[in-house]
Amino acid sequence: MSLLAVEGLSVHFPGHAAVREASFAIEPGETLALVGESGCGKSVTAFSVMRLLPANARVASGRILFDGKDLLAASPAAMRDIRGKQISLIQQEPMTSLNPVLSIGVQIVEVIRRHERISRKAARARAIELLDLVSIPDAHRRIDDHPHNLSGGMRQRVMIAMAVACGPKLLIADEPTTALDVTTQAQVLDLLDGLRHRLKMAVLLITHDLGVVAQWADRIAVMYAGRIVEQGGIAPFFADPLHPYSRGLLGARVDVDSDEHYLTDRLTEIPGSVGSAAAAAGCPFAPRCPIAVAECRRALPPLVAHGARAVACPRVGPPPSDGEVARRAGGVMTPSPAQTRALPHRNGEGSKA
Amino acid sequence: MTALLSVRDLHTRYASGKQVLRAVDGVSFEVARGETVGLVGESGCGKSTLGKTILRLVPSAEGAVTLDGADITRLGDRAMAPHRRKVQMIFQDPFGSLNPRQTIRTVLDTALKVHRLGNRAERERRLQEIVTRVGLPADSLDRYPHEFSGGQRQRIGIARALILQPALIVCDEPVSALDVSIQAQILNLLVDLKRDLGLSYLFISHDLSVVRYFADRVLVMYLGRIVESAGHGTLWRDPRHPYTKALLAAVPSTDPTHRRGAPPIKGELTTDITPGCRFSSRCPAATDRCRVEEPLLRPVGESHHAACHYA
Repeated sequence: MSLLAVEGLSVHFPGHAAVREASFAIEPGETLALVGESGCGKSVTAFSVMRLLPANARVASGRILFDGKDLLAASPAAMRDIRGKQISLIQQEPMTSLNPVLSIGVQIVEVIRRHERISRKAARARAIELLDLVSIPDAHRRIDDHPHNLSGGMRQRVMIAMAVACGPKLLIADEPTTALDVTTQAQVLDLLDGLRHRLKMAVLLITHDLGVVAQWADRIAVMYAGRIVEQGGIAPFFADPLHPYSRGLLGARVDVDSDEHYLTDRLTEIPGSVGSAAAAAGCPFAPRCPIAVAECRRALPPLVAHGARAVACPRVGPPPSDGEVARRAGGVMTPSPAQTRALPHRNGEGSKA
Repeated sequence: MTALLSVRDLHTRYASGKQVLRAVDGVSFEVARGETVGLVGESGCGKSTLGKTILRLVPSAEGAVTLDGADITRLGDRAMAPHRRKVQMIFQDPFGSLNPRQTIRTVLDTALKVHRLGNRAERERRLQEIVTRVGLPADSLDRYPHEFSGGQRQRIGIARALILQPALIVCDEPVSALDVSIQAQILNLLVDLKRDLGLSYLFISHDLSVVRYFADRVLVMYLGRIVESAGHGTLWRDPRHPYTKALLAAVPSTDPTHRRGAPPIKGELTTDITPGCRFSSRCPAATDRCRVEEPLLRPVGESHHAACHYA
């Protein structure tokens, strides 16, 4: 049984649907990356799992099964026991998630004592251990610091310490390193990955950064305009993305290991913007899609499983066997002449030079 | 041929109470005509302040900025005006840098009026041209910033920078706030404009992947100083400064088969400037000498400089 199974989730705000029949699952101990552009519904999905949606949002349909129990049917009191104990959330900006007038120790102790019958003294000792665990130097002294005494990376470590304090089975990390510098990002994500193995927890990693996905996730779910459009393992996804949007994303990225330079290579664009697509009927990506046909604009394509992968596009068939990959590179989707860089498979050709 | 932009020993200081923050602390470099110079570093290293000091949006404390052969460092407002046309800026957040109550026509026309360029008909023609040139719909001029998407707003920011026909554009994180699919559109536009109009760019970014693609030459900045400068190919093939090496190692590759190692530095950028090398407290290879003697930028190869005793 999956640790978390989101089934057909739709979340509506007045006047628009933020999430439309999204389905995905997380197995115990794995890291699933939920990827998409701003406004695609990634954070709304995370807040739905935590049952922390804003008051004007409404879950229109779907189930969220955690350990087999439907979180959407749980009482508010039951949810309070689950949050912080079974499922924890880390957000992008640690400064706004931490209380600026309380020391970090008080805030960690509060989480522990909410869920466990334990003395203040014992909880404080646990908090120091936790700060040690997230590699904060001099934990026994730093525990009395206030958030403003800490750097951005240190604050995010404190958030992680609070999140793992009660040994959750699932950690939701919503853009945990977007506000951090690149050297700090690597340290924080390495820390998170180490803790995942040590504490045997699963991680739902919400990000827009494909580099973060490639380096720190096991599987990926790609979201576009409220829909999950593709799901699968990291290796097959980066070697052979199925959905036209996934292909566009991988084509549009610039990779630090690639020798591509503006004098010799042109970046592949995805034409238009999400805004131009959200209101249209049918597949939300159709207005920007290079292989869309009339049928795509009529009906919403369902997410169809192909072995361990799934894709919501009737225009792409089941993933090919290894031998077929090379042949298909130019076949399914022929880039227009303006797109001088081929959409798929940049990985295999240029980037390892 | 003289460089389009020449910066000599530039210092910018911010005072807060008795404390003085040396945001730019002795920076020298040049931008040649038609060249794109990338400026990379982590937040707080002084890269944006450097860009703003060059445009005289922030006053410099010491040093000289020479634009097209003319020293603009100490010019008064009136004397500065003709030079402002030659260097323009594109900002990270296109929404925050556009007045929400002005139509795009007002935003763009104001620049022309201030510089007394053309009569009404000529200005109108210029507005129409520039809007098409940056890929905005023809009816954009009478609309307001909130009616545009993020990518389109950045096109407006680019139009505003271009309308005075500058020779140099300082781009401060121009694609950092944009989604990946939009980022490629804007980068391609900047490449086209450079080619067609013979522009030069000073391209400020924390994103090494983007700089690697977009720059001809790269400057790496740390705590107010340039610590390494090299051609774009050289820097990635043969980084010499330990900070550059750490930065490059920390960028996650989008190739999952290419696993990166742990970043070889600890800690984070602070504002404390220690004696000796500013990077020594985080450097894995620092020696006693580094903690006493500040290394100067010196040649380590062809058009390649690094500020490290052991580079």
